[in-house]
Amino acid sequence: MDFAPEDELKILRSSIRAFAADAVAPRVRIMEETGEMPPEFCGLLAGQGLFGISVPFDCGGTQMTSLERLVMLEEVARVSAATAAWLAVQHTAAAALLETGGPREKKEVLPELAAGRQFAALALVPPPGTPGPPITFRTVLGDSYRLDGQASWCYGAPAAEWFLVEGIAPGQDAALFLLSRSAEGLVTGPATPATGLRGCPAGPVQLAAAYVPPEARLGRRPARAVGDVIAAAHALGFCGIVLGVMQAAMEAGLDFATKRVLYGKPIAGLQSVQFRLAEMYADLEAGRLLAYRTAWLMDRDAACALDMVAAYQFLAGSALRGTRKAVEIFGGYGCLQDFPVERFYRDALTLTSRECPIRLDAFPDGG
Amino acid sequence: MNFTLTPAQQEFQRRVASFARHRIEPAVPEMEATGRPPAELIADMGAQGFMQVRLPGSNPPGLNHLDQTLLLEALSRHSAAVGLLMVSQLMGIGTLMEFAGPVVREQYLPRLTSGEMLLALGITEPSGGSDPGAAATRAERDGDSFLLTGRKVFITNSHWAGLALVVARTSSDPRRGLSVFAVDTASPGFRTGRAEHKTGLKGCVTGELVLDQCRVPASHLLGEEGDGLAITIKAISEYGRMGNAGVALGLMQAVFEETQALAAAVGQLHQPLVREGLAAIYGETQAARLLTYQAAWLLDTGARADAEVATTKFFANDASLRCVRRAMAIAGSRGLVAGHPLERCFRDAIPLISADGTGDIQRIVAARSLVGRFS
Repeated sequence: MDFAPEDELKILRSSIRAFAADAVAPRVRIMEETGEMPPEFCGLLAGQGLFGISVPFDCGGTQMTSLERLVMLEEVARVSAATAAWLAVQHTAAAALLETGGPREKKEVLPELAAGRQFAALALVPPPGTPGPPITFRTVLGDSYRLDGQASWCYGAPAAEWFLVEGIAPGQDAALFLLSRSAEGLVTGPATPATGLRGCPAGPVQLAAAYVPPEARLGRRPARAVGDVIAAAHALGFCGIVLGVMQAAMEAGLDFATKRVLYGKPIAGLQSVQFRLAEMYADLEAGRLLAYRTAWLMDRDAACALDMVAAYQFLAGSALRGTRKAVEIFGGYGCLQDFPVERFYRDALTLTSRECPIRLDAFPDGG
Repeated sequence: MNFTLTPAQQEFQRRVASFARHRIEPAVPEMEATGRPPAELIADMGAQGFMQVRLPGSNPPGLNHLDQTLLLEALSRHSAAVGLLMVSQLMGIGTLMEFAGPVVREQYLPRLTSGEMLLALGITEPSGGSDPGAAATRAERDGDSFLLTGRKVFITNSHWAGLALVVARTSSDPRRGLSVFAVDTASPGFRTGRAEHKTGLKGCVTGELVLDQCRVPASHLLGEEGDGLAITIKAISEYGRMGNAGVALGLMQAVFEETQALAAAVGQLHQPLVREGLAAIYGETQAARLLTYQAAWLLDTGARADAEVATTKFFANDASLRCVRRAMAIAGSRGLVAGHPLERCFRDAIPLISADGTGDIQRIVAARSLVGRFS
């Protein structure tokens, strides 16, 4: 075993950290205030190759590993979880197109996404019990499809040119369709104000009698296999973002605890504060190791669905615990927007509001 | 980064697992009933090389910190009591290798590493064990000897040890007032006191060491006079806390496997709540395992790892209890029946919390180290 990161990974981390400090940090306040991404910002992110980080070279990407993607998202999210969430959605869309797309999608759409010139949104089948009608499809006119329904909370929808829509039909596997914004019957609603991740706009996607040609249906692989690819990309992105938020909360807590003086000494000397710092650190380190190992396994094409679920679940719990402890260390200041920890807590709450996308239909016998 | 064990480590892991399955697992009911391991078990573990310690920076043979973690994890998969017994043994052997003079090394190390003799660490006193600097046991110089007087409590291996490493005060200096002595338990003035009846960990003895003008040769002093606090903290941190975490890993693995087997036997593996619970147990176990392996790896590179080791210890202990509680929710009443492995794991997880320093102390150690790094 060797827990030391390779030089390449260290260089990637330090370069993203520097970029995030220079280009992302100054834009956090405007994103918080408007809930939108500044127009020039995507160009800056694209200039770093951050949209196409997991896209192969021949499709216009930078073809990095899952572990490198995880570290990149972690470093961006350390400064802005909303920015990292925006990137992660694009990564997931790219992973879906790579898995299911034909030559047209790989030549015409994927390079645009990888270059950050166009964006995609995901409208996937929600978990059972979600309010509202799911998106359904049926075959019409021989080989075309009609889509109807609504996906209520799609990150990137207000600004997307492309929509990856998952539809269900009685007696059939779920199917994935690629629709352009100009598709007849596709309507996006305004961005929905959210508790956190402000700057990564999310909104509804409605499909009312949307007729699409046969080539809009992506791939013919079993829906479960496609779903697994999307879920894995989504889950790993989640882990990276949460790690960044937790790291930021840890650093803010340490900084405040060493500067804030109470009873004549820094509050870092109080056991109640020390306990919180130690527990935040434990959750952060444990979550980081779980996520890194899972990404490392993914890069070796090793089976890791259970590890991904474990990392996701652990980090979902840790994110709320850790950011809440940071708010508590700040005391009343923790609830003021002058300090970043209230944003970390809101971001953690928003991030963890969704179920783990990985499905374990039956628990593996061998563990 | 590389998250795989070397082929040699994997082979060692398999060998220990096989030993534990064939030699320890069948003996667990007897250990639960009598509180003692089979008579020949300790020597057999010695013969397997399980008590050979390798210090950081030295060459094989012997077990480095990661190897020791693998060993304790595999032994504790079947008996946390045997695991904890071995923690004290390894802690003592490693400390002797690093700090004992030639007389003690030659006289005792071969018997300790072969499993012929067990070792106890005499640190905790009736006033508590979290602050070793407050030790009240006295050591007074008398010619070429020291006379030790005091009482040590909650000592693992107390009544079975042939050698005890005893922390005693040699001066009132707050920083250099303590020293560590290798005390032969056959020495005049040494006796054992009460043996405790514990919640769990039945199979290793925990009890008192009583020293009444116990004469110890000056050659049995570890390091220099006044080195006691540094030696003690190093031993507790690098062997005690790390070993304790290794034991917790084995316990958690047992909880996972036993719960999985139980759910499979009653056809419940497909139930969402069971799947979610098992995934959480798996996640907690993996998280603790990776933290522990990383801390061991850091120690093996010669790095200081105060925050990592302390974090590993309290996280693994807390995670053990969370895992057991989750397992109980899946197992229902079956997990509460005496004789069921889950019931034993529940009882074993509790005393691990206080052994080698409570979780609260570990949190303070970790936070102080983090603040120091940050500042």
